Amino acid sequence: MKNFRIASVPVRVALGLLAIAFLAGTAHAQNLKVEAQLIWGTNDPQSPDPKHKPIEASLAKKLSNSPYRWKNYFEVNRVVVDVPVSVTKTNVPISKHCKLDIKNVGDNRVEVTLHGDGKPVIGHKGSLANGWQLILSGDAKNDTAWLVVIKKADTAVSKLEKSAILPTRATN
Amino acid sequence: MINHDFELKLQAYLDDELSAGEAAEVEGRLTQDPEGKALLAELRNTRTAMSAGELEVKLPESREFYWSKIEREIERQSRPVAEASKLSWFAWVQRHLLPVSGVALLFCLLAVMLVHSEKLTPQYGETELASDDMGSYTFRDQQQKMTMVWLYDRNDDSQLADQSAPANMEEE
Repeated sequence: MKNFRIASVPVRVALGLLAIAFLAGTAHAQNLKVEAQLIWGTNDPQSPDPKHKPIEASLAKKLSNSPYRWKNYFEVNRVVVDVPVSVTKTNVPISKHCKLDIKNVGDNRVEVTLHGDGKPVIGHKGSLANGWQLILSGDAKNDTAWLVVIKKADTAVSKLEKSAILPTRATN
Repeated sequence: MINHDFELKLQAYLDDELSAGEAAEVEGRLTQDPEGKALLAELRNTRTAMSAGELEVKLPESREFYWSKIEREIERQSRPVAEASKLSWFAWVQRHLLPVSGVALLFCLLAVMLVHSEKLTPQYGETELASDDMGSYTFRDQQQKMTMVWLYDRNDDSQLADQSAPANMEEE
């Protein structure tokens, strides 16, 4: 019985390259690590909550060049979730009253639903490709504001996600 | 009975291709071999008939030119063998690397298209409010790569006049 052989070297190399391309494409369509950062915007120089820390300089610079008019921004919480394609991570807690549903719709696009006190407030569908950030925001007490900055994460999964069992809902 | 060797010798005798000794030997045998004599007569008759009936072929070119053409053709056919051995590396490159480079080029083009498709993905988002009482402004900053969504309460007129509220946002 003759052994099956792929005789031609070019064919072998071409198949190898196609396999690499396939794997690259598969990897491209895999999990999306999303970071949600809750920020408090204020004109006060200090936050009354000692747990709050100033946001990173790059984001502060971006916000200072944006329509937002607050002088200082403090990070309240930060969550990183790993969202597989076509899966919705539900009830991702960003504060006591606010939670997020994050769905990875593929191709670096997400559907984010913000819940306040258990009720959906706003849904937004957009791309996080190429460093793009989505900021959901609104006013808070005493001329301050809350901002939820959502972007692709480049850090490891947060301690919060490691400690919390986040429910998932597969959707197609 | 005449054997095959004697038949060949008779043919050679007829064509004057035998040495004097061999010819004498054949003639001596023929005096005692009537069967051989008959065969020689038959061969002679056949040759006479063929030479008389054969049409004369006239070559369109001279005899020298005709043979020189054959010589050149033989030389031409033997030449590629020698060249093939000298240029075997080129043949190898042509056979193996050119198809591979073509596939690699295609692969690179696909990779570049994949990378750029991510960059060229439109960043337009879709916002959906859960309540008619809520309104939103959206501002997209291509330079800062940010989509900013500002939520407000439609029933709260004070926010529209609030100087600290974000400026330059589009109402949705």
